Amino acid sequence: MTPKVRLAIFATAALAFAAILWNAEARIQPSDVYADFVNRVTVPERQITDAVTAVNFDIRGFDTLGEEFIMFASVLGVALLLRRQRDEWDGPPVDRARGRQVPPPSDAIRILTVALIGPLVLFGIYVVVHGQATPGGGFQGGVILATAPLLMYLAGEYESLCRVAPRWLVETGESIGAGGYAIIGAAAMLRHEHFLQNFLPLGKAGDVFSGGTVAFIDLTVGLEVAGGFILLLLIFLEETLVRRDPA
Amino acid sequence: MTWLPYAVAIWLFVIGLYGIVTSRHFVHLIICLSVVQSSTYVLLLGIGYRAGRAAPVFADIPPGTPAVDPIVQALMLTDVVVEVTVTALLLALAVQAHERTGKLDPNELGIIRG
Amino acid sequence: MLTPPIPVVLPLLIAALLAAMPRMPRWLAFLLAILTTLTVGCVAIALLNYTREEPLIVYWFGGWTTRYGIAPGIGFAIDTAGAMLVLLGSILTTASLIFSSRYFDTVGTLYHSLMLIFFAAMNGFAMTGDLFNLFVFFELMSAAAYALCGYKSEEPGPLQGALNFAVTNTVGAFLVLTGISLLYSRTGALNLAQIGRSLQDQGADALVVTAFALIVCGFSIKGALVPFHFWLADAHAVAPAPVCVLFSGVMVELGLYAVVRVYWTIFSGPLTPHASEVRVLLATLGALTAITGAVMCYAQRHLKRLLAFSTISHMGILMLGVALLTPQALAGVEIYVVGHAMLKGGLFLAAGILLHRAATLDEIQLARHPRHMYFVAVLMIAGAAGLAGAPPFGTFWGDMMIGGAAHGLRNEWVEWIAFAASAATAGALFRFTARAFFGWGPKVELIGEPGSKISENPDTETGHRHTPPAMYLPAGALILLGLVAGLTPRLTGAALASAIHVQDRAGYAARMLDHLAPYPPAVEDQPLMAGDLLRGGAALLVALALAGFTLRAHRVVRAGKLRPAVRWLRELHSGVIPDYVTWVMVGTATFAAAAVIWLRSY
Repeated sequence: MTPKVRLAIFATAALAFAAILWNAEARIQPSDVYADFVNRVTVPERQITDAVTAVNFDIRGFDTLGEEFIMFASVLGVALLLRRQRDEWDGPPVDRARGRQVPPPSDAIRILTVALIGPLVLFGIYVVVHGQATPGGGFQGGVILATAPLLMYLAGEYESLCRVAPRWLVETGESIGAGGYAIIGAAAMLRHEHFLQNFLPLGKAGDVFSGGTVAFIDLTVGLEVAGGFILLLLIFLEETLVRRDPA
Repeated sequence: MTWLPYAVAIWLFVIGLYGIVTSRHFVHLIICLSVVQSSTYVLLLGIGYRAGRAAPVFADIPPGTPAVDPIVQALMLTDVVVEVTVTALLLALAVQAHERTGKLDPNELGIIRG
Repeated sequence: MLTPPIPVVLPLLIAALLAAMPRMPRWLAFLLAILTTLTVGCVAIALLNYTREEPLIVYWFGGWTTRYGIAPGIGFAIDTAGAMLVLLGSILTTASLIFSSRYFDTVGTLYHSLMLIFFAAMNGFAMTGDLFNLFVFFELMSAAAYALCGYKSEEPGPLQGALNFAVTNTVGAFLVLTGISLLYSRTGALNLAQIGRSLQDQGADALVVTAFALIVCGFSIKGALVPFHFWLADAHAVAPAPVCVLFSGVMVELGLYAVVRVYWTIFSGPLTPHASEVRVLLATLGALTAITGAVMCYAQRHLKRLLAFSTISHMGILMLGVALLTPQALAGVEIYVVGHAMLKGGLFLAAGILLHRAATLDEIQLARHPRHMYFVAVLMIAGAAGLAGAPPFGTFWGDMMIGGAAHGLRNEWVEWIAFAASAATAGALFRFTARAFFGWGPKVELIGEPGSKISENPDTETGHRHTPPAMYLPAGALILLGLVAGLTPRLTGAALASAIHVQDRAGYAARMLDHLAPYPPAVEDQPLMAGDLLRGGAALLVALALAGFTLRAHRVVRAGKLRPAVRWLRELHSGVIPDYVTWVMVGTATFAAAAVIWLRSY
């Protein structure tokens, strides 16, 4: 189809679709059934004060296992797609615009990023570990943790990133995180309970170690998400900086 | 004004798809896909909001206080992770396509047809 | 009750383990993967056995059982249909893994991990009773599929195929998610049975009907129904053969399964007053798909793309069966899915063997240098006969039941379309086999110029002189299973019982939410009639005649009036994502508009 014809057809269909969706959404009157149940039940039954984490890792924990593996599969897919092909070879990072005066990384950036890495890692661990008490959890904290090696790359060169986060370490960490969630769930089955049943002592609401298994699931998910994002970073940087086409 | 999130959701959906249909660059296309995904976030959160209620975190407020819907927030979290990872996969495909064909225009890849 | 999580959790665990050890020796990785799929297969057989007494196996994750009539946790609801799909997935994945164990380039353990994750997601999709869980497994299945489709990333073709696949299916996921949000807002539930129960008293207003349209259209993109089907041929043409087996055998059928499950647990209640309109809507989708798929299939010369369009056509036939909305038709669909999956899997593996030996899958190139690989030719002829619906393949019994249901509703045109589509796709395969393996017919282009410029690097290292048993044994086994599936005793009776349970909305909800056990109905087998045998045989003969006519009377074919029409249809399949997304929008808007006009109660 020529672009004009295509746009005309699309515009008509999109207008009709928007009208139909508007007609439907105008009749939305949200129902409180599920929400009120969860809000009532998280603290008394699971000692978790953050209802969103309770839903994510306990009440609907199986969904989160699937979602974690979506992340895992996508990172595997990226590693597969950007793998070294037979006719490519690895070389040191090369400036594509030759003859250009490359300014060295500025001292301000170096100091700032190095100074930020420590607090960032600490903050990330804090968010991961406190998921069951305050807003946060494995996913949010994992993403914060994953930015620490990125800061290392900004402060230094590609090699410093590779030294801090070697690929084999990140891959292993990510797999342990992914498998760990499934193992925690399966451990409940060893006690003749249902998969992902919360079988650890629940602690007191507001503590770091409340919520039973949720505390540990937070850690494994944080590990997996951080590992996944760092691995994505490593793969994309390797593809851009290091891969060389056949001459 | 409770209709505003729904209007924004519909707008994002349609304009994102418009971006995909008129796109001339794969990276642009993939980002437009993210825009379409954002429409589902806005819709979900619009459904979950209850005027005048607190956040569903009972650390400072006594348990049993009326709070907004935590389920849609959890659904949205799942959604965000899915979107990020699928975007990463698509970008890897686009990067590799550029390496192999030198082209980035969706209209011009032209290897599979008919 | 320990077994329901195993088909999902075990493959995921082994996939994580394999990914953590990329330097594992190849034989060990394959051994672990095949042991996993075999274990899951045994679990599936155990589940199938259990569903004969207990029609719905209910399993609540995290121990969150129902309270005050609501279902707070995620539940698996495994009935015969779901367990059968898990078994089907296990058989096909095992066959694919065995096929790829000899020469396939596995990139460390990435291939095994992705296949196991794909397998786990398909199992979860088939077993779940929760709508959002369905969506999560849909996305997991899709993510692994995109990566597996773009596997041979050193060529540009797989990348374009994977991009088309990924963008189109992601748009489908958004449509489904919007529908789920609408349903959640109305009912405050995510469990299928609970949503159904909540909606059945209310009747269908614009919101419910729009949600129905969105969910059906979103899953139809996965199920490759017209006009959402464009991605499938692109993806199949470039994905490695063992991966295509899973795509065509289980993944696409799961899209249709989702439509069936969601309709019968949620929408059959509020849409009961308009059942005949629903029939018309779904049957239109099915008929369009069957015809378009058949025509495009006949116009292809690349074997995998030909098989892909054949899958699209058969999905149209399945949708026609689903659209009839009776238990007999649904039973026919179930049997047909099993038969088609085995046969299509075997055919794709045969294509993989051909590629391994000949390094090309193009009909004209093969016609110039015919390969005398008689075993593969026999497989393809047997597969084609099965796809035509010849007795005693599984597909024959499926056709028989769908035909019987159509007859009962006075909708004989459904039978005719199914007949024509299966004859056409089988004829295309007969034509291909005749030219590529025996060198019959002219060595020039008949239907039209080739569209795609797919230069096929084989999945394996090139130009082998013989085929290892690891490759021809699974191919033969799958075709044989397609044949043998039709010979199972009391097949039609078992399928009918399963279909009745799928369509029994009140019984499903009672078993899932109230732990009651309504008494299952008594069923009888459908008797085999002479008319059915005649019909199956006639389809086979028509397919052979079509192939023969094309090859012998090629001058008539080349001068025919059909060529411009076929060329126009082929140009629509442009391989360009913006076109595909436009068609998705057109299809969704049309379906939703028709639904809102005709299916509302108030």
